[in-house]
Order: sequence, then C-alpha cells, then structure tokens
Amino acid sequence: MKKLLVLFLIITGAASIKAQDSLKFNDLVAPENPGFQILGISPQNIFRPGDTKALGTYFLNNVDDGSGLIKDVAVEVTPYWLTKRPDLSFKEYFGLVPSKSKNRFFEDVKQTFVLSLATTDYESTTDSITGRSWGFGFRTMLLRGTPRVAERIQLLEQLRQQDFVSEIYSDVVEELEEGNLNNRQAVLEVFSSKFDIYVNNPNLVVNFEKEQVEYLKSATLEYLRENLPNSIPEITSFVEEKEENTGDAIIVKIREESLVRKGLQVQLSGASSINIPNNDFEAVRGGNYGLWLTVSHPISKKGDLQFAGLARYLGSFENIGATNTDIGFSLSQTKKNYSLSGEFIYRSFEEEFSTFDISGQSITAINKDNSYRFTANLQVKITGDTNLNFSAGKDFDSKITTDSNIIALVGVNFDLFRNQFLKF
Amino acid sequence: MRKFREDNDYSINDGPIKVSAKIRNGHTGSIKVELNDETVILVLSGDDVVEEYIGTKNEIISSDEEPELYIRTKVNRASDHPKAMVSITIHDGEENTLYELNESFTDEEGTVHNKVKYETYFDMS
Repeated sequence: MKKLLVLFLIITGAASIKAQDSLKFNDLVAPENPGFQILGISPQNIFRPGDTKALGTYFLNNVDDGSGLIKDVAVEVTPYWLTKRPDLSFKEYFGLVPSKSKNRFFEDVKQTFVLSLATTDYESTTDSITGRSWGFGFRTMLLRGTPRVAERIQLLEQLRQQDFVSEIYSDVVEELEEGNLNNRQAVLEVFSSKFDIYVNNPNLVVNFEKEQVEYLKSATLEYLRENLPNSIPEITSFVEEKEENTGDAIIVKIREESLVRKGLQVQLSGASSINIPNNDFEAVRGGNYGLWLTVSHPISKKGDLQFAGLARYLGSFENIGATNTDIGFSLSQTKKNYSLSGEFIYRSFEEEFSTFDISGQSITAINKDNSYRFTANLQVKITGDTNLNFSAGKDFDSKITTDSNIIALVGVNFDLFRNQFLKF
Repeated sequence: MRKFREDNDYSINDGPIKVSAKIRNGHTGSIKVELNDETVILVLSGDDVVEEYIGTKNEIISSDEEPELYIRTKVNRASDHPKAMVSITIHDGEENTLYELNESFTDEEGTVHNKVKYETYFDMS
C-alpha cells in the first residue's frame, strides 16, 4: 500500500510542481511581523526587549554613522509590556475577573499593540544605486473574542495543586541545604511532616481544602517511594529538579490557553518602508506600504469549523497610483484526522502611468485589472506529523503567461494542521 | 527556575506589624510567609496576594534571639510580561515600607525560565 502511495505521489507531484510556484494556500493570514514583510525579509534573529533600557542599548549597539542603523536590524516591541504593570493581576489578565480598566477596547488594543522594525540593503532597480531600506510595522487586535472560562478555571486549579507540591519540594530543599537529613528514609519522613503541617492546620493555606492536601500527600509520597534515589547527593539533585520543574507543563498550557478565544476576533496590521539611497538621509524615498484587516470567527461550538476573512491594501510610494486590493474569505473544518478548507480571494489591481493622447498631449492613464482565485484543500493525516494534501481550484488570471489557471495538486507535507486562531 | 535571595534589616518602629505581598505584571504564583521558621500563611496561584497580621512589637521581639520574617515567592510566567514582579510592604503602625522585586524570566545566557523564586529575609529588631 505504501509503495503504491509513493508511486502515486511521484507521478502527480511532477505534474504539480509548476503550479505550486504561484499557489499559496492560507493566504488569508495577516503578517506576523508587518515591518519585516514590507521589506520582503524573514529575519532569523528577532530582538524582543524586556524593558526600555534593553531597547535603548540595542539601538545604540546597532547605530551606523553613515546610514543610521546597520543592516539586518530586526526588532519587535510590545510597548505595553515594556513597563511595570503593578495593578495587573493574573485573574484579570486571564479573563477570570472583569477588567478594572474603564475601556476594555483600548486596554485590549494596548495589550496587543506590537511594533516591528527591520533594515536591509537597498538597491534601486532603475539606476543601481545602493543604500539601506527600513521597514516599520504594527499589528493589534481590535476585537479579541472572549476567553474559554471553564477551561481556564480547570487549568488554574491544576496549577494551584502543582504550586502546593512545589512548595513542599522547596521546604525539603531547604532542609537538605541545612544538612539536617542523612538518609533516604529521613527525607521521606520530612516530606510527610511538611504535608502534615497543612493537614493539621488547613487554614495556613488559603482557599485549599484539607482533602486536597491529603490527596496530594498520598500521591506525592507514593511517587517518591518508587522514584527517590538512595544517596543524599542524588536525592538533593532529584528534589531540586522537582522544585524547578513541578508545574512547568501547566504554566505552558496556561500561556497557550491565553491565546485561544472564542467569538469574533479582528486584527489590524499596517506597514511602510523607506529607502535611503547612498545612505544619504536627505535623499530618503518612500517605499511600499500596506494595510491588513483580518477577521476570524468560529462557526461551530467546538471551534473546529472556522470562518476567516481578510482585506488587504498594498501600494508603493515609488510608483504612485499603483495599488493592489485583495478581499477574501475562507472556511475551514479541522478534525482529528483531516482538515478541509475552501478559500476565495478577489483581487483588484490599479496602476496610473503617464502617456500621450492622440493629439500628443501628456496625460495620466489608468490600467485596471480584476481577477479572482478559489481553492479547495484537503489534508489527511497519514501518520504522526505527516499529511497527504489534495488541492484544486482556479488561480488568478495571468496577463503574461498562457498557461492554464486551473489548479490540481497532490503532495505530502510534514506539518500539523495549522491553527486557525489569530494568535497574540 | 531563576533564584534570588535578599537580606534586609528591619527595625520595628512602633508596630503593630502587618505584611502584604502581591505578584503582578499579570503573572501568578505562590507566596509563603514565615516568622521564626513557623509558617504564617501560604497562598497559591489565583490568589496571588497576602495581607497578614504578624504581631505587636512586644509579641515579635519576645525572646533574646533576633526574630526573622521570611517571605518566599515563586512567580509563574503566565503572562506576556518579561519580568517577575513582586511587591512586599511592611506596614509598621502608620508607616509603610515597600520592597520591590522585579527580575526577568530570562537569565544572562538568554534562557527563558518558567519560574522565578525570590527568598526575602527580614532581620527584625
């Protein structure tokens, strides 16, 4: 069966290579870093400062006397998180209590407002002049949807239990550091006695039931009896590692859950670039610019059927009047073993150019063109991270080539199904 | 986990002494308060705030030994903020003294940790 599958892929794959050059599925996604995309680059190393001091130091280290900033600068900043937030509690951040902010909309915009800046080499296509290009961009959520409260409460409860066990490990680490324990049995007894402090006086731990303490004591001691090493140095390493790692998996799940929301989500992104020929700031020229508006909404209760829409406006300061407007939408159904999606994009292209009319007068003419593309895509999971991919549809009309614009593709990729949620 | 320890001398003015501590920047975690090695209170994620009466000046300084207040906070990296912020306030009668802990989850080598542990000692006199 596998041999047949490979043979089928070789035959159909050869026929589809040409079409793949022009076809990109999931086009209805806003750029994650608009400042980089407007320059057409994908930096490997992106600097994300933790405070204003780090940001200032980064720019000081990347200044070039001639061109302002050196090549390959790539920085992404969320201004909201650069300063301390002494009034922001976890429950408010996680959406478990109402926000103290009077205007939730502006609070969401501020929290999700991300700036990106990048530089790369500039080379003029008309006169071979070189220099530096800078790209600036932003993205923010205008509507974030609503959190999945039940899932979040469950995760928080799991974290509280892990916190409690981690506290016991910390207590035992202190006893080991003080040299009070000299054999495995003594360590197990100390673990038991540390739990007993809270069993005997449950009021010492806030909003935690005695039964929870007893259950965690029993489960932890059972685990330790089976896994605790024998020598004190090994025990110390083991307990220190547990103190560090207990709860880590839940913390990661909580960070992931904070990205997942239900309901309508709307993201706005924008970017622009400037070109600095000969690194002379007096000769700065505008480059390209763009604006993206992305909408996402789950249709089914489980969120596996998703609607996405995108409006995109792209233009160029160097070629005034040349604009590209895309409007599209997609529907995608994601199940455990397959993903089915359909996508439609309408494109309107407009370009102004100087020419002469029949009497020889100089005039500005407009070249307009409209086209559309639709595609259907089916991904079937074969094994693990390997998917079989079927695609069909119609690509944008091309004025230059005479190839057919009918699309038919079969291929294999090794990615998991893409997450359709907008992420922040 | 990044670990930090801070030792402070605190001279009690008039008392009574109350201690409050909170974890902020949108993060969560646990806060444990001990007086002379005895647990006073422990709060876990989701509560993130402690406000606890410790005692009068005479109650705290009741023996020859120097009393010690110990506050252990473990901050879980739950939000997007890159720093683990904890603020501790010693309320001494009408006077308040603020101690702020605000370290990054990222260490000197660039590794991003899931937890920051602060151990703060106050030698009371």
